[in-house]
Amino acid sequence: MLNTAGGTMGHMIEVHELTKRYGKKLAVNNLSFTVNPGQVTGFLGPNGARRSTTLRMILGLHASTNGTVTVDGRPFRSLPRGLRHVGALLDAADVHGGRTARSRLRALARSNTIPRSRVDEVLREVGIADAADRRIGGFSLGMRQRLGIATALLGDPPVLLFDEPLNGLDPEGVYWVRGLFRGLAAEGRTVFVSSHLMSEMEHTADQLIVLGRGELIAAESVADDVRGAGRVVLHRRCHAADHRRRRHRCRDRPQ
Amino acid sequence: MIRTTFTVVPARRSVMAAKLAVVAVVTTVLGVVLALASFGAAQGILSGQHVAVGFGHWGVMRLLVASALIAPVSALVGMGLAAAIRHSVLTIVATITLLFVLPSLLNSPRHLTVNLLHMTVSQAWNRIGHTPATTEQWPWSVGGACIVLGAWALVAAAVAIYIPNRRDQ
Repeated sequence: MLNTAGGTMGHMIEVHELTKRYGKKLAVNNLSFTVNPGQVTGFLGPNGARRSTTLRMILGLHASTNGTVTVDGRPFRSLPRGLRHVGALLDAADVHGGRTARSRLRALARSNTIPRSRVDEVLREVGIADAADRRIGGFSLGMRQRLGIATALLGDPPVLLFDEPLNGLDPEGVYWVRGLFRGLAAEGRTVFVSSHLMSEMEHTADQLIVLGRGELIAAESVADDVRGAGRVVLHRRCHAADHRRRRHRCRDRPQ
Repeated sequence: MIRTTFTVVPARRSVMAAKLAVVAVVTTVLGVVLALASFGAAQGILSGQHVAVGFGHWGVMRLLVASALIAPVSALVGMGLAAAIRHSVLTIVATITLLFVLPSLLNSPRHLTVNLLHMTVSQAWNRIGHTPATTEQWPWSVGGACIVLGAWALVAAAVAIYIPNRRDQ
């Protein structure tokens, strides 16, 4: 089981003055925030806010132009193997359709010297054990999300990142995911969930990091900001930030 | 898939080196099987004409080894291009162009053109297997052809290992 002896100081995600440029285009601008263990932190923002880019930089998939990002005090790319440190669901479609759910997880487990028995455990945990020997190509989007979540859980990591984990899930699945995230946080893990659905984050998150056009708009607790009148303030800030950029509008609704 | 791979194993060079090793071993086995099978089939036909040769015949082993090794060399070139281009269709076009189209375009007897031709994979393979027409005017050695094949394989492997390590994925 997860070692929580480190208390609330361990396993933080620390983003410090993070900037990313693609050529001349400024994608992420001087972003600083901390994601703490023992909580579900919502990563909120409209489409195109650069949430996925930020997650990729946390995982070292994209190099930052400026600034640093560390997980548990270290850049993620300095780790030789990842699954036991950070579990991530970036894109549920990023799978080989010809493989079965079990063979995919076994291959990933093997690369990180995770015992085979763990594969069946996580398949049961996400509720697709019955489909373990079916080809992923035949999976529904909801089942792929569950498989992606199983991949993230595989290494029993202290830090978990989820990018739009609710896409394609039915109401029962959404309810299950909320419980799962709450449970993972209660075990002392750092749970960072990216979403464009503010209403959903109200139900799931303790803390919110709000991003708009690659800039930090707010980093506050849900109780203060979203559940009360603060929600209006947040909306205003979103709009104000967008107005500055004279681009799209900040929206809180599904695509 | 490569994002999943590099998230699960952030040591990108190790991953790419492992992928290279698998590709090299699998295609070498494939090359050996195909070379032996085609040699066997050809001898089966030729023995009916009483012109068959055995493994001991001069140049036969060299031809078989060259024919087997062309598979991994070509596969590594394809993998290096794939790592650099990152687009399936463009990679296939570029690989076929580099391996097959380019040598057929280098058909002038000028010294420079022939030198370039000798640097291509297919011409080097030809040189090891038998003596192509260009060798008469601009001679080159089998050893030189082996170096050409080795250089292609090494450069392709280096590209496949180091370029994905530096790029955003």
